[in-house]
Amino acid sequence: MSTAEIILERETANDESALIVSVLVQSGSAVEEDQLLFETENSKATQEVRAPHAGILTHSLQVGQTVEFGIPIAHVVPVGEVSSTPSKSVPVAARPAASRPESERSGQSYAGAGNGSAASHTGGENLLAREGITRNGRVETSAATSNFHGAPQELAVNSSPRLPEPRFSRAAAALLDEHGLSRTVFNADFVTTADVRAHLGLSAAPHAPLAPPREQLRAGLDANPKAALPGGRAIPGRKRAEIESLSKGAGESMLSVLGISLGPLSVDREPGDFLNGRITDLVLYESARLMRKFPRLNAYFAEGQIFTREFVHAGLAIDSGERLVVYGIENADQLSLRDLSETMADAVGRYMDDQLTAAEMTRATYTVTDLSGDELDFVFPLLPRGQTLILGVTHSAQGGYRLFAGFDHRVTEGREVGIFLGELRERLLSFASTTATVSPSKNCEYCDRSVREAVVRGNEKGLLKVVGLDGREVLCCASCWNGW
Amino acid sequence: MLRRAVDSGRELAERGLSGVHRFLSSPQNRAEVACALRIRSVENALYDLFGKGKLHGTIHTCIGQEFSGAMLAKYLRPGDFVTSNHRCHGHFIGATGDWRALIDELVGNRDGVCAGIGSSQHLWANNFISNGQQGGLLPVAAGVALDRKVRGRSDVVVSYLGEGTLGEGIVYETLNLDSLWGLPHVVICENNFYSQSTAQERAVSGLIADRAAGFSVAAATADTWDLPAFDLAICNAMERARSESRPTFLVLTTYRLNPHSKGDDNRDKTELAWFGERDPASIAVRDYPEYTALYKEFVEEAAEVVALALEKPPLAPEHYFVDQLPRSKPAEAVSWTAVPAPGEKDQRIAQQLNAFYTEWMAKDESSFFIGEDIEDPYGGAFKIAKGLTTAFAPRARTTPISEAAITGVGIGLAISGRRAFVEIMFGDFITYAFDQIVNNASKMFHMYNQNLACPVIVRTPMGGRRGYGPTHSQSLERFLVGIDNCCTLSLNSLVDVALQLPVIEGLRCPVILLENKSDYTNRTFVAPDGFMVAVDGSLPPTLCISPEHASPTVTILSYGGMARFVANGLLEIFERSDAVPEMIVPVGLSPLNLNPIAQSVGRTGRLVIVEEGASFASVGAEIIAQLQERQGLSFSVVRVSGKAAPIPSAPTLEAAALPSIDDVCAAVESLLERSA
Repeated sequence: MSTAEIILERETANDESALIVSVLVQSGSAVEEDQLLFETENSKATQEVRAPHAGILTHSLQVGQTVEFGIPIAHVVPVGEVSSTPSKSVPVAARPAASRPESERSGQSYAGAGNGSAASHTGGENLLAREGITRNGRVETSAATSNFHGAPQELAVNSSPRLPEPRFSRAAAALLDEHGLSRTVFNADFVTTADVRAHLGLSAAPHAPLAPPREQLRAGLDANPKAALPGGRAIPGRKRAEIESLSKGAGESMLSVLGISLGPLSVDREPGDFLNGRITDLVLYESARLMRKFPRLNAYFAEGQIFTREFVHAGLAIDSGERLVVYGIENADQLSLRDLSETMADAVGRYMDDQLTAAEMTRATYTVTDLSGDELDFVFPLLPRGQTLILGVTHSAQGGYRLFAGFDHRVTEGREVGIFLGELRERLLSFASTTATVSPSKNCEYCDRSVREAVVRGNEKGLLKVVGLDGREVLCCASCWNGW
Repeated sequence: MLRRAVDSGRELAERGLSGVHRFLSSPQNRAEVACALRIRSVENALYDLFGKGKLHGTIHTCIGQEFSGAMLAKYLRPGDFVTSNHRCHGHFIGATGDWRALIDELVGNRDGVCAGIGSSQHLWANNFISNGQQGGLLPVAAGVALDRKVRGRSDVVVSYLGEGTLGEGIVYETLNLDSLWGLPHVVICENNFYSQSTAQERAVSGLIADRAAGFSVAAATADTWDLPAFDLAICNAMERARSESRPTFLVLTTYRLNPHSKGDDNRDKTELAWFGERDPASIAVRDYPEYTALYKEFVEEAAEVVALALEKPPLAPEHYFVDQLPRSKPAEAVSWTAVPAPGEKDQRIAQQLNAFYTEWMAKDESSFFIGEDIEDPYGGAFKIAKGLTTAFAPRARTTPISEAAITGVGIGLAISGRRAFVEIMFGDFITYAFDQIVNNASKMFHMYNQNLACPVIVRTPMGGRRGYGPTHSQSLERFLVGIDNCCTLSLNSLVDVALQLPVIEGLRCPVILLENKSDYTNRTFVAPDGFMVAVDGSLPPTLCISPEHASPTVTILSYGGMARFVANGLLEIFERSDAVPEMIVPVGLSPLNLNPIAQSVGRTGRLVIVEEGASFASVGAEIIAQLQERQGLSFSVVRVSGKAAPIPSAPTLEAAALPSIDDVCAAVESLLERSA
């Protein structure tokens, strides 16, 4: 069994990194297979990291540290291998270079694949095929490589992770000394001041192309980041994740907001309906269908390009006051109103029980946030990352319902959103029982089926507004319409 | 008063007039006379079209000189090859007889010999090429002659030039090669007394035929009046080439009755009339009823073919703009494969190259390897060719100091279906070969409507840091990468050259293969601990040196010998500049594979381009332009390059003229400042 690298996999499209919220096993400790090691948190969910197999865990993680996806954060060294290394029984600092045979280390230190003498450099392209290659994660696995690794004698040597003795740039070394920081906390090679600052919590994204201004960072350092300002309170990890998502969504988009008034709109709800008089389900139901007509509003902007989506996952913003999540209702444009309502109720219930999965909380392609439970006249909805449209619903006794659309100007523009809102309004009003624009009769003109009956029966689509033979606007159920 | 050169023409015409009649009256010469009349009828038709503005471009007619091409037809055999110049219609009809396709070509329709691409000056047939530069095809002809000679065939290569071309040095480089190598090459110098509008006495000194003696090349003289004597002279020249494999320089005095092109004639009208009276083709039509009738028939045929040609469609543009370059697909995924560290048997780059070329020469028995000073035991200035002339003579051979001519020879070998490596001792002197590369090698594929490939490989070392001074140290990549349909590769010492070179096997375009002087003595790069070398899967490949356990924060792009210099300083760059470097090293400079560069720059957002040559209009400039054109890539960039001054020899001065690790660190730091 070989040493396993523990690599944090990317769970959400919105995050480049995750926060370490708990470290349950200290470096150097023995762990069992599947033992819970760490908990991490991204903008949408917490994630458990478990041991891939039994062994000795080595890491240098600390609670509050931000780690990037895709690079090893810890290693589990099988017990047998550790004990066979007499110089260090427990590789706390993990310096596998020391555990490699001396013969391999002598001469060219770069011979990571070992067996360098077997290489002949006159054979052209065969070179690569002949030699096993174990340099790092970018190596492509090929049959030749597997065969090479098949030799058990060399397996331990060639596949042992080469955690380097980290090298520090001069500036990074100086910064470390300035802050009295130990060098052993870094387990990636080539540490720069950006890494040190990230470690100190001064910069969340150490390798972003556009780093924060140096002057600011310098000022931040001088102010001693570890000392909190008097009266302040630390922001909890989940809130920080939320802040990061929104700052990367709304913060990076060209946000604009349009609003439209629905007027007094009343929808009959069954007693005890979790929506409690709100129109969230109707907004989700109709907006999801409209997404097919307005694919740009369902698209997203990334790296200078607009990517459209094949599917519509409507996002339902849920916030009990503790934390905000956006639950993605899968293929909402294909659900009946009834299925949609049930899905929503289920999601809210599982939110309360903290059972939502990361996938559920990251898949939404646009979002609806309904604040109509409070008396409000205006909302300025902020776009989550990777979305182009967020709809906000408010309600006040005087103004009735209002619909606001926050949108990314890089993908769409006000005119399109305006048309969208207008159509959505029309559709929503067709559900209303007390507006002048719709026939006073809530029943199908031809079979007398009620709106609720039409909606509730499985896949029925409610009532159509049609112009009757006498020129009057009347309602017609789908069955009667199809019967025509 | 200065004796006018044309006066000697008058004497020859006067003396040779009886020869005209002797030739015309003999029935056995009917084919040659008919060919001359055919040329006359076609050219008159074309000249007429040109006058009416129906020919696009220009035209150079040979009215008055027709027997030059017509007489050749008598002695050409299958396997022979003819090269010609701007005034090539007569030679083409003589060599191929395909006058209809010639009319199509000049009219510019797709049935033309080159589908209208080449028009008047750039013609192709299986045994014929012409090009518009002066003397440029002579060494190519020598290359074809070398091919024929080595094949052991008795084929002959005939080259036409005008006496105005005698001002070009390439003529003498070629005569020298012809003589040294005993090539079956007949050079026919048509002396019509005028270089375009300049009278010969102002442009050509001495006696023309005497020039051959300086090279011990057999000289012969003839004229287009004493046609029986010309017949004999060309017969002898062809025979000398065919059976003795020896060259001949045949000076053929003649007279051009039309202007150089049209409307650019300042010659004396009475002189024109005098020669017009004595023009052999005119005499045939005027005095010999048989030829009068024949010519009338030819004129009618030409008119019919012209009428048809005007109706034919032109070549569709999309058929023209394809090239032979190994282009990568835009935005194709990049996959990297780690390169193992060099083993114990690792050799110096010079030895690796020598092994590669030796293996190539052994494997491909059609290939040639030529260059200055490569004869064993010397084996070339940098010993890349060591052992080749011993093992592979006559395919490997040392050459005189004639960069242009040996490049032309390489082209001639290439168009004869061989791979030819041409070594130019110092990259600085590739300038001599520029006409051959730009006007011959790179153009042939397109110019001859994709009928000809020219996979010549011109090898040369670039680079300084050896103290060789201003003319032996330059990096001239920026002058080379802009040549169309020419692949420029820049080898480095970061991985075994056997990983960099396989691309050339499949290439059908000309290749400029840049090696590096300072790399010759290097062994393969050993990455500092913590860095790995990888190669992508494309041809030509791109190399990458990246940190094994860290994310790079700056991309450093370099190539050639400069790449090794930077790679050797990677740790220092990291420690001093506070950025984690990833190096991207393209082997192909033209065309560029942007994908690996864009991938890395997309990750780091910062790019430093380090070039040994000066930065103005450099490879780096092109890379930046192309990256900028890629959507969605935002990055900042700084270039580090050699100074725009000749490279001095003194060590401190030379170091100051070339990029240093200090410069690279400063560039990285300035990028960090910029994004701060």
